[in-house]
Amino acid sequence: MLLPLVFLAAIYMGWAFGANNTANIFGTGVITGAIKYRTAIILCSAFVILGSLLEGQKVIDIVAFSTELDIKLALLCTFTAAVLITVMTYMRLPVSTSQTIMGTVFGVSLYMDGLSHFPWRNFIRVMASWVTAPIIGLLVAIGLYQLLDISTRRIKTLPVFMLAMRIGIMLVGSYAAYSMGADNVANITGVFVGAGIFTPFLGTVIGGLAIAFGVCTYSKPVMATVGGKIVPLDIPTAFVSVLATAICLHFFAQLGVPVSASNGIVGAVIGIGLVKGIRTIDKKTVTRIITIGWVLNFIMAMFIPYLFLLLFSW
Amino acid sequence: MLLRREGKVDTLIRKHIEEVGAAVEASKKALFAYLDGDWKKFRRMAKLTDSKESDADAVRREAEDALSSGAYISVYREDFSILLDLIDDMADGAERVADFLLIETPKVPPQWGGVFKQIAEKTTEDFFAFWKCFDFLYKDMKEAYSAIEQVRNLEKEIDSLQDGVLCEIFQSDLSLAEKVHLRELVLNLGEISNSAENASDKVRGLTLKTGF
Repeated sequence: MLLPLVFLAAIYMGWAFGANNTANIFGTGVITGAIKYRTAIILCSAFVILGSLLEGQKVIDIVAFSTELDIKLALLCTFTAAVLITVMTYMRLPVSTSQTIMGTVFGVSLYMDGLSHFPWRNFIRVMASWVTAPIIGLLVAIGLYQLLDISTRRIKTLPVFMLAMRIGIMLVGSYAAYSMGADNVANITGVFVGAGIFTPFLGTVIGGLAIAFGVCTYSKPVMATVGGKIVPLDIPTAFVSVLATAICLHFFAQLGVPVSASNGIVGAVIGIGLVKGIRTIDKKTVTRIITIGWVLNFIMAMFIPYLFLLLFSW
Repeated sequence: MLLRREGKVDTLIRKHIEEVGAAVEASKKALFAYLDGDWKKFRRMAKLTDSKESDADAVRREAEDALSSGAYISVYREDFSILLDLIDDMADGAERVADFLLIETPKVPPQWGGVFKQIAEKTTEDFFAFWKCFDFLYKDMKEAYSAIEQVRNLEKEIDSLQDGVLCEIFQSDLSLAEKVHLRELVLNLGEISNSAENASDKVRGLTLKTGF
């Protein structure tokens, strides 16, 4: 009886994730006209699915097995996360899906396992990753920017430069979509794998398709708002920040920890600003992203299921 | 295939610049003929200026249509559209000079004929300096900066000549009406180099966007 709800929850979560995160990958490319919206969503969907299928299982363990989940708990996690993401998106606030879903899992674990059996190792691993991800994004972006600077100086003419940027945005965006699928599909269906409803492979299939569904149906309005506030509007900077984010996501997928694209991008954009000697992102935006999108969001994601279980324990 | 639309726009922009150049050159010859008293040649050159300005307008419209069909990334498309307008302003300036001479026939005292000719020469030079700067977008963007500097320097020289001759005019014994009339001619002549400088600034903006 609860199975239809499981599919609904997974699809909704994936849809919200896909709609919210495409902007981080192709937002600048579409807004500047370097890539058409239709091309962006086709590439994004295809590579998200590919990333989910080929490497998505690497991250599922930490989401699925940090605590013992059953179908009801899995649904609680997913619906809490989905509602939080939707509310944050509606309020035009940046939100980290990874932090949201992991918050709900740890919240359930806090209730079910107490402090003595709380998965501290996984908790510390996740916290450490969320702190290091922006730093890695920053360092990778600095290196990439220098490399891009050297490479583009070899381009002498404007038409060739524009062509290179167009092709670059497509390639980098595709890789970023692949990395996003690999590192974040666990956010969508990991809890259901933990509850034994899906196999890990089925989880990556359903999660990947659900994300692609969100990419295709609702990413355009979000591109100009949520994503546009973080990703810079000049093409070379966007190219570097998206590639740095892709590398960051792919790296953490190998470590089996889900991180958010916004973790990588904030670090990357600040890194580029340091190299260029200009301010590329304002303090107010960074403060809002960190305090609301990451910290507050995580705390709410953790304590909403905890309080729910406390009040309506089963 | 990927650069087909851009190739068409580039060809049209170059054609536009050629027509504008022809208008500027014709306007200079018209001024020279006017100052030399060759009325027949002047009328012919004034008519040619007008005709070249209309041709430039037609090509500009064609280029804008080609731009709006999707050539270039959209952030650059707007820049190219503005650049086309600024280049066209030079043809408009050339036409204004020719029309001003044709319709209002200002009396230019012989002591200033040389300065007016000098201003017209430098204006044409300034236009060609801009053309060189535009060409560098397609040859070597780094070299565009030195060409932009040349446009600016010429514009400053023209400004200096204008200021000098205006001082002399207003300190002379001419009537106020004659002084104001000549002032208008001087200012009209200066508009072409102002537009050349604005257009070269736009070229600079385009290169800056690439990070050069």
